[in-house]
Amino acid sequence: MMKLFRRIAIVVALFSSTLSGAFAADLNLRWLDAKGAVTAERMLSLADIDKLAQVKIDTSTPWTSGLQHFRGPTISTLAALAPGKVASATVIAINDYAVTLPSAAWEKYGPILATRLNDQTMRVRDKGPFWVMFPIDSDPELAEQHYQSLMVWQVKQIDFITD
Amino acid sequence: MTSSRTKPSIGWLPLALIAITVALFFATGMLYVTQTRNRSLMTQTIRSSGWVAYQAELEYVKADSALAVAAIAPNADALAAAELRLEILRSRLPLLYNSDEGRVLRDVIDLEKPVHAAETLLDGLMDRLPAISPTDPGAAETLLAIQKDMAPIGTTLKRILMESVAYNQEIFRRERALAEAPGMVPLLLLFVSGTCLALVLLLQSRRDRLRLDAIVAAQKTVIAMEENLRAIIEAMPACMIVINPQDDSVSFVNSAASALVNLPLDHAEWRRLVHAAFQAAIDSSGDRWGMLNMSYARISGDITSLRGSLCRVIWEGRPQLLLVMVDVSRVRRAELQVMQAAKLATLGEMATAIAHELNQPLAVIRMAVANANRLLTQIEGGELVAGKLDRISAQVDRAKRITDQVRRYGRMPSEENEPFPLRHAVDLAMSFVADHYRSANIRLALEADIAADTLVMGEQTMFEQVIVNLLVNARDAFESSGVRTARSVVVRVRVHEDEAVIEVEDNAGGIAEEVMPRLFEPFSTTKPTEKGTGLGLSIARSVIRDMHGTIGAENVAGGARFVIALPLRHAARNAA
Amino acid sequence: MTARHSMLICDDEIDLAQELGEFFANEGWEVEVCVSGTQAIRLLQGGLAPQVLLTDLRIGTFNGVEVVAAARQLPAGSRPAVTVILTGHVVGSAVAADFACDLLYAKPVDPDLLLREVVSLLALRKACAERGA
Repeated sequence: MMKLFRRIAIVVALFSSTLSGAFAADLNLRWLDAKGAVTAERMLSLADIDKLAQVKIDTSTPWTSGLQHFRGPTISTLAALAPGKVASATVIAINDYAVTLPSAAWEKYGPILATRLNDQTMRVRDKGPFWVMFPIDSDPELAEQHYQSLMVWQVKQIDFITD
Repeated sequence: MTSSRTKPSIGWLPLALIAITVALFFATGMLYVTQTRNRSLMTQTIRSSGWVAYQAELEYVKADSALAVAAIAPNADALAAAELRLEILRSRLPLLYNSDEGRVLRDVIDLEKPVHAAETLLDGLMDRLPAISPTDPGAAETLLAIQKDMAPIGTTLKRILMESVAYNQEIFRRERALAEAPGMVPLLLLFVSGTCLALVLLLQSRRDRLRLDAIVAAQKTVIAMEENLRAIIEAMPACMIVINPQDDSVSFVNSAASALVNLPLDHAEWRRLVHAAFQAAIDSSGDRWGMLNMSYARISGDITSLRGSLCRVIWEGRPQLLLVMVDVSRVRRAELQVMQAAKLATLGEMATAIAHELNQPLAVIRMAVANANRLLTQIEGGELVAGKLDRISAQVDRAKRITDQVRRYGRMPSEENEPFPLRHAVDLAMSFVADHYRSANIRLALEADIAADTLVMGEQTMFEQVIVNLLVNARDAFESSGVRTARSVVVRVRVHEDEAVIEVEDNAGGIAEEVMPRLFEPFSTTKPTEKGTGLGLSIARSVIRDMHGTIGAENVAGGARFVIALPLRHAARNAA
Repeated sequence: MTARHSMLICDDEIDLAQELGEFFANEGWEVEVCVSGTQAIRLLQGGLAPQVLLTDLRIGTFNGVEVVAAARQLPAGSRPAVTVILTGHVVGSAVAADFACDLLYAKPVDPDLLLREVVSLLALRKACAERGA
């Protein structure tokens, strides 16, 4: 019953999102092995993501003015959703921009996949719905081009490469 | 000053230059590193700024085409796609001014207003889109209208892109130009300072080398001087002895000193000499310094008089005693000789004066004797007294003869050596004695093989005296020998090589052998006192010596021959 | 033309002057003795007019040459016919003419020689004077 209800809710949400113009806040997660074969795959909705452990990052960014409050699960949390040690994560955006985060990066800095900016969801025009965010203010190195390129916005898919 | 190490004297200039060079070296390095990093950062940013504009343009194109596609077949998917595209485009626009790259771009291109305008426009367009339903017949038119309305955004974006590209190119061009320059300046400075340093070090080394050369030259001079001093010390006629005051041993002697004591330095004889010198050097206050006079009995037995001084000296860095002594034995002897000569000269003068003075009382005696004789004739028994008076008279004559000769003997060396004709002088001398010779029955002959104007140097009268003296001696010899027959005296005058030779030869029996050696000595006479003073021949020798000639006597067959040799006067033959 | 010869003897050594005076007096001469040149000149100028002037030379305190010169300057009548210089200091080989006198002797002089030569020279002078006169 609940399963059905949930499925209906998803369809309705999908539909409504299509109609309302608020696009499908769905995050596609895949786990690939070293050879490139998909070992696992999950599609998470915003509600699903909200259920994961949330972390807050309060920081300023080069693309915004003033202190911003980001909230979302950490990349490592997402990576841990499937078994296997993840070496890197390829983050793909809506415009097909892709970049690879080495596991060292999220282990060192603990970046999140932000779902909320100042407690509000992000429209695509606001660089939503999902934005990889590092705690920029905590380390000046994070302000450099290299890390800027890792803070992918309009994320639609993350591929975790396992060892 | 004689050290050749130059390190302590390194000037401040090279040190400063070294510091500057090192600093510049590091500065260049740091500058280069910073510049490179900044440049790379800047490059990245500049590149990205162009990229942001490009990406915006790209999204615009995608949105534009999505709208076109949707207009052709307006269905839900197409509409959704177009909406998504517009959203993405809309998200791109703030990046043009609100990102690192956008901030760069914003400074260069005037984009804020147009972009804000584009945003506002796009917002409006995006609001219109959800209202369109796929089933709406006018959907395509609306979409096309939206697309058309979106065109200015495209223009703006294109313009921004072009401008950013142009700017990038400009930047790249300037950057490339600057690439060399910034690095050049410190590099050039480094080069300059390095060259200066090298030059300074070169100059320093040259200066040091010159200084070294000067030092070496100075050392050579010092060595040369030491050589000279050593040569002087060795050549000095004074004895130099350096004594170690601690044990009175001898540290150094010069050659004069080793001639005095011809023994190794450690021989006890040296110590004896040193102690004797110390003794002699004690002055009135008991100090052992100053002048000393001493007699030193050498090992060979000679006694030398030494005069010198004792003083302190630093020899080879240590305080020693210096004993300098001069052998004055010869000096003393020379002094004595000088005194003797002076005494003789004085004596001579005195003699002359005495002779002169004696003449006075002699004159009185003579007159008184004559008067006494006269008185005696009137007294009886006066014959004996008369005999005594005669004796007195004779002695007066003798005294006069002595004073005469003494006067002549004691006269000063002649200042009047003039040329005189020899032959004439001999003639004169012979004429003095001619009468006496006649009365003594002696044949006097002259063999003069000499020109009348041949000259010799001297005092003519004195020379005549000499000849007279010889002739008188010959006559006296005849008298004492008693030879009566064939008495003859021959005077020969001739020239032999560079000399005039005068011979006075008699046949009066010759000179006794025992008298010969002392013939010309004063007061050695063979004549009885009435005749001879004993000074004649010595005066003759003195006179002939003054004329730079020689006089000698020899026995010949039956008599004696006196030979005088005189240097000829070779000058003006017209001297009268 | 006096019968007796006359002589002025001048010598600062009184002993010699006296002996000389005695000698010539014994020979029958008229002798005047003085011991200084000034005295001699005074006597001469006072009209002594000796026939012979005999003086010492003694350079220094008094000069015989001055006396001789003074004698020369006397008028012809009172001038001595013969001047004699007697000296203990013969300088070199001087001759009478050097001192402007007639006869020059070195001391000690042979008295007989002196007498002889003075007398003969006086006779000669007399003869000349007579012949001239």
